Amino acid sequence: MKNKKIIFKVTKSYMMKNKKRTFITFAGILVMVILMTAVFIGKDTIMEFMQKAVEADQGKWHYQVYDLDRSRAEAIAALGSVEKMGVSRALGYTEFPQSGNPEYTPYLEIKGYSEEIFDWMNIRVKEGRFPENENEILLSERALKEGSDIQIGDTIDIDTFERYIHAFYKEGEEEEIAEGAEPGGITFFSGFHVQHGDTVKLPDHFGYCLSNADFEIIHIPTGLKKTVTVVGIMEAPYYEAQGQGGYIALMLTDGEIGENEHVNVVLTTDLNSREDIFGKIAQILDDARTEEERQAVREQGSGYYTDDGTLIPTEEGRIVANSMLLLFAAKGTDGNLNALMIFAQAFFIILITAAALILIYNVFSISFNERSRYLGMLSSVGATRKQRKWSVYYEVFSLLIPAIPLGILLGLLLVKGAMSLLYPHFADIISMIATNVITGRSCEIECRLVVNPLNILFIIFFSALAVWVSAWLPALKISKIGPVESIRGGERAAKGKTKRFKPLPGLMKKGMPEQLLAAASVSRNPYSTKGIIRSITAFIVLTLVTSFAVRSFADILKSKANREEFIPGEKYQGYTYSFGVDDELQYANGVSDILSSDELESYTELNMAYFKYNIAIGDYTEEFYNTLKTLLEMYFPNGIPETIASNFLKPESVWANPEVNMLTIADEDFEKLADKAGADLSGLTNPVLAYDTVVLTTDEFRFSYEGSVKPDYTNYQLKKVLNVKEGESFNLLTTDYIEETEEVPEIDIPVSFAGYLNAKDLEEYGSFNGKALWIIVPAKTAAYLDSNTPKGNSANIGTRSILFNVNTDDSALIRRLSQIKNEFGDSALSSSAMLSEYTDFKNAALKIVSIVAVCFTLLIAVICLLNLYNSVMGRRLARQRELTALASVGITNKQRMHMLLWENVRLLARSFIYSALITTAFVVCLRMMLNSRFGRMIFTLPFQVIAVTVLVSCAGLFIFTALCYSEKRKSELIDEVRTEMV
Amino acid sequence: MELLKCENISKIYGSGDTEVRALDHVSFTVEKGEFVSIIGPSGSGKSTLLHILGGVDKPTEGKVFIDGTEIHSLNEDKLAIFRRRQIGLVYQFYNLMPTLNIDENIALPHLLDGRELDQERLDSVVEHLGLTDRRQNLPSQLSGGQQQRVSIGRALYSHPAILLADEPTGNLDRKTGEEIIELLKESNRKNEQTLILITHDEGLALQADRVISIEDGRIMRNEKVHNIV
Repeated sequence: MKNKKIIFKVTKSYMMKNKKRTFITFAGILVMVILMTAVFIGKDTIMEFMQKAVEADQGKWHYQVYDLDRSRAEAIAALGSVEKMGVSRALGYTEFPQSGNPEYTPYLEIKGYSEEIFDWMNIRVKEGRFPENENEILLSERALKEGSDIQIGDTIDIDTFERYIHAFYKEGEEEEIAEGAEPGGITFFSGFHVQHGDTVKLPDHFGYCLSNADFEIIHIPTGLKKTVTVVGIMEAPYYEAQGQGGYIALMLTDGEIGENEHVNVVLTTDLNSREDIFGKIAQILDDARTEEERQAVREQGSGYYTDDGTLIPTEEGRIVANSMLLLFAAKGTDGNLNALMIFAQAFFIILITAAALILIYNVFSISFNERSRYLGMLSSVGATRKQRKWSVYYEVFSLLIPAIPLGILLGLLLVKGAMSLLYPHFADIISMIATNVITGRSCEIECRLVVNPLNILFIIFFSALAVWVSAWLPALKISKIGPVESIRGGERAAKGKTKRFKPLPGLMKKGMPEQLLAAASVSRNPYSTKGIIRSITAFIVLTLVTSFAVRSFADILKSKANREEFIPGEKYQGYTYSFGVDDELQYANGVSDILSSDELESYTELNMAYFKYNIAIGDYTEEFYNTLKTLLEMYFPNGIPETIASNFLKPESVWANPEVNMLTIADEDFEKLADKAGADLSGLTNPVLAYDTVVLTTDEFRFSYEGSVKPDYTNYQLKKVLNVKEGESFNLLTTDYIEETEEVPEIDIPVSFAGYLNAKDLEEYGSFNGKALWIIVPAKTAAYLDSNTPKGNSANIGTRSILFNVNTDDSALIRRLSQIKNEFGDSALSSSAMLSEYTDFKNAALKIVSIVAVCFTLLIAVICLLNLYNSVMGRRLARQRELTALASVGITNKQRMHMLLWENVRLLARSFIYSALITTAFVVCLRMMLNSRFGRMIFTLPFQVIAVTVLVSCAGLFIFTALCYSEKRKSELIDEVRTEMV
Repeated sequence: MELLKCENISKIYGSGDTEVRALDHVSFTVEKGEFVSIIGPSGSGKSTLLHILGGVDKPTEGKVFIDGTEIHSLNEDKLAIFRRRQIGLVYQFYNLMPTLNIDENIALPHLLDGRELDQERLDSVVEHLGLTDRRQNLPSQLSGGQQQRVSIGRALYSHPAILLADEPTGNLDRKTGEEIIELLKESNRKNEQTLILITHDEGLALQADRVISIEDGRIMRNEKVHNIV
C-alpha cells in the first residue's frame, strides 16, 4: 500500500481538478447503488405488499386440510416445515329463528376455531369482541344486513345437526340397475353430484333446499346443544357465499383433537423451507387409505404430482392451498409459476447489473484520453503497470464509499416514493376486489419498506463487484499504455500509429464540411463515440428486452392464472345492474319489463354461450390437430390410449369434437366488425366471424388416467385454426335427443364463414380466452341457429343477460326484478360490477404486477438515459481540443449545430443497427428459453414501445447534445486555447 | 497600405487584489504583407495580444481594425467568418482537428467558408509541404514538425490576409523549426500575407521586417529590423 500512496495522491488531485468528470463517475456509481437498492428492497417491499393484499383477501393461512383423525393431524403437525397448526371444527347447522331471510337462509352454520385461526382467516370484528370461551359466539354481519334484529348480548339456543341428502330412485330404476344399468343422479349447479339411491352429507356452505320428489333432506343431530351468547358481529368471512343456507357463526374451540374425532386443520408453514408440503400431506392422507379407497379416489380423477413425477391420488378440495399467497412467496403449488417468479427475479437483477456495468464502464471508457495523460506522466516518473491500474481502482472505490450509504438512502426513498405514488392505484384495485367478492368488506393494507439486513449486504457486495468488474477493463487498458503514448495523448495512441482511417473524399469534394466533420468525428474517434453508441444501444436494448420480457411473463402469468374464458370489455361496462335467468319466459318477461320501464336509463344485452356447438375436427387445420396430438402425447408419452384418442383425435360422437363458444351481437355491430375483418358479407347466408386465436395448454387438458405423466406447463397459441376459407360454409354440430328411442342424432347446422377477427378488433367486446374457438354471430344468424337447435338440449342454455342503469335510487323496477329467482334460488338480478375486469384476485394481482413491471421498465429507461447524458457530456469534455481547433478556424454556431446534428444522425443510425441486432438476439434467446419451458406461445412485438423507445433515444440524444454543448463559446474559446497550450 | 491597426488595447484579468493588467494601452499598426515579430519575456502579454488580434479574446478596452473592420464589434458568427477568411492561426501545439486527416485539415477553413475544393491547389500545397505520402494520416500519427506543417498548410491553402503564429517552433527541434519559419516566410512573401510571429528567439525575430518588444503589457520598442541591426 505504501508504494501506492503517491499514486492515490496524484489520482485524488486529478479527481479534484476534473470535478465534472469525477461527478459523472460518482453519479454513475451512485445510480448503480440506487438501482441495486431498488431491486433488492423494492422486490421485497412489493412482494410483502402483495402478500398482505392476499392475506387481507384470503387470510394468512397457507394450507387447509379437511377431515383428519388425530393421528393424521399429528403426522401433519410433525412435518418439518409446518410452523403452526390450528384446529377448525365444522360444528354443524342450527335453526336460526331470528333470521331476517328465513326463505333462503334459515340456519346458522357454526364453526369452531382454535384461537390462532381467527387471525389467520382474517376474521374482523365490526362490533363487540371475539369469543373467549365455548359459550360465546361471533355472528356474521350478513345476518343483520338481511334483516335479522339480533344484537350483542342476545342468546341463541343451539341444537346442531348435519345436513344429508338422499336421492330417490326413479321409477323402475332399481330394477334396471339390477339388470346392469348405471344408476342416474342429481347434479346441482355447484357441481355437487349425488347418485340415485345414495345418502350423502351436503358439502359446507351448501344452499338451503327443501325435500322434493327427487330427493330428501335429512338432518342428523350432532349432539351439541346449549345456549350461547352473541358477543360480536364480524365482517362476513371471505368464504361466506351469498347463496349458502346458513349464516356463518364462529365459536372458540379446543385445539386438542379427540380420539375418534375428525377435524379440519389450518396450517402455516416455513416459506423458506424447500419441503414439498403439499406432496407430504397428500402422502400422509394416502397412507391411511385402503387399496379400495385409493382406487375410488383415483377414479375421481384428481391427483398431485410430486417433483419426481409420482402421482398421489387426492380428493378434490381435501387439501386447499392459499395459492396466491404462496405464489408471492414463490412457494406456490404450481412448480412452473414458481420457476417463472424466480426466473423473472433473476432476469431483472441481471438486467439491472448489466445496465450499471455499462454505465460505469462507459464513464471510464469516455475519459480514457484524459486519464492516459496523467497516468502517462506517472509512468514517465516510474509508476509500474500495477500502480497505474490501482489508480483507476482507487478512483472508483473512493467514490463507491460515499455512494453506498447515499445510494441506499436514495434507493429507499425511491422505493418509498414509488410505492406512495402507486399505493392509491393498488388500493383501488384491491378495494374493487373486496367490493366485488365480499360486499362491504374493507381492505386496508399497510405499505412499508422491507429492509432485510442481508439485502443491504447483497447491495454492498454486488455494488463493489459491479464497480470492480466495470473498472477492470479500463484499468487494464490504461496500465498497458506506455509513457510516450500517454503523453502524446489520444486514444489513437493505444491503437497504434499506423492504423489507417477510411478517407471521406466524397464529402470533402462535395463541400460538405459539417458532414465531413461529423463523419470523421464518429468514425475516427472510437472511444467517445462508442460510449454514446453503447449508451443508446443499451437504452434501446434494455428497454425493449425488459418490455418484451415483462410482456412475455405477463402473457404466461395471464395464461396460467386466468381461467376466465371471456372478460367483458368496455361495451358491457358502466352498467349497475345485470338481469339474467335461464327460464326463457321469465327472461322475456323481465326484459320486457326493463325495456318498457320509464326508469330505464341505458342498457345493452350480453349474449354469449360456452361450448354452445361443436365443429368437426376435420374442419380444423392440421396445425390444430397436430398440436392437440402433441399435448396428448405429453401426457401419454408411451402412446395415447384408445379411449383418449376417440375423445379427442378420432371423435366418435358430436361432443368429442372441439367445442365452440359463441357471442351474439347486434346485426349492425356485426357488419362493423366484418368491415374491420375485411370480410365481404354480400352473398353469405348466416355469416359468422371467428376470433383468430385459440390457446391450448396443459392446464386446459388435464389427465390422471392410467399411464399418464405430468408434463411441464406448455402453452400453444394457435392462429386461424379453421380449415375453412372465407366465404365457404361449415357445420356447427349439435345433437337432439329422442326420448322414445333414446337416440341422440347429430344435427349439422351450416353457416358461412365470413373471416377472422383479432384481439384488437374485439377489444370493445372483451377478451376471449381458452381452448375453444370463439365465434361471433349477428342476431340474425343467432335466430337461425336457435331455430335449428333442438329445444331442451342442455347446450342450448346460454349466458344471456341484460345490463342496464336506472334513473332513480328508489326503483320499482329493481324491486320487481329482485323477486325473480333462478332455479337454485339465486337472484336473477345482480350487480354488473361482477362483470368488470377485476373478477378475482388473480386478475388484480396481475394488474399490480404489470404496473410494477412497467415502473421497472421506466426505471431502467431512466438509468440508461442518464448513462446517455453521461456519455454525451463525457464526449463533450473529451473533444475540447477538437472544438478549440474548430473555433480557431472560424466555425460558426450554425455550422457547429449542423455538425452536431449530422454526428447525432450517424450515431443514431449506428446505434439502431447494433440495437436491432442485439435486441433480436436477446429476444430470440429469451423466446427460446420461455418456449422450451412454457410451450409455443405467440409473443407479440411491442411495436408501440419500440416506437417510443426510438423516439426517446433520438430526443434524448438531441436534447443532451444541446445541453452539453450550449455553454457560451466566447468565454470558453480563450480558455480552451490556453488549456490546450499548457 | 495599413492592414491591421490596434488602438489603445488593454486587457485586465480578475478584479481588486487579484487584478492583472496583461496589456496596457497598446497601439500599433501593421502594413499589408509586412512580417512583424513580437518578442518579450514570459508573462509579458504577447500571447494575449495575439489572441486579441486573432479575435479569440476580447480586449477590456481599445479597438482592433483589420482591413478597416473593427473586429470586436462583430457578432460571434460574423467574427468566426471573418477569422476563417482573414486570419490564419498557427499555435505552438498545432491546433489541428484530431479527427481529420491532412487533406481535410488543410481544406477545412476553405470548406467551412462554403467554397469548393480546389484539388489541384490542395495537391500542390501538400506536395510543397512534403506530406504527400502522409496525407491520409491523422495528426496523432504525425511528428510535431509534420503537424506544424499541416497547420501552416492550412494557412497557405485558405490564403488568409494575416497569419498569426504563436511560437510555432517552440515545440520543435532547431532544424525543423527553421523549416517551419521558412514556410511561413515563403507564404508571407509569395502570397503577400501579413505575418505576425510571437517568439522568444531573438535571432528568429530579427528575420522579420519589424520587431515589437513587449514588457509588462506595454510596448517597449517598435522598430524596423534594419534600424536594430
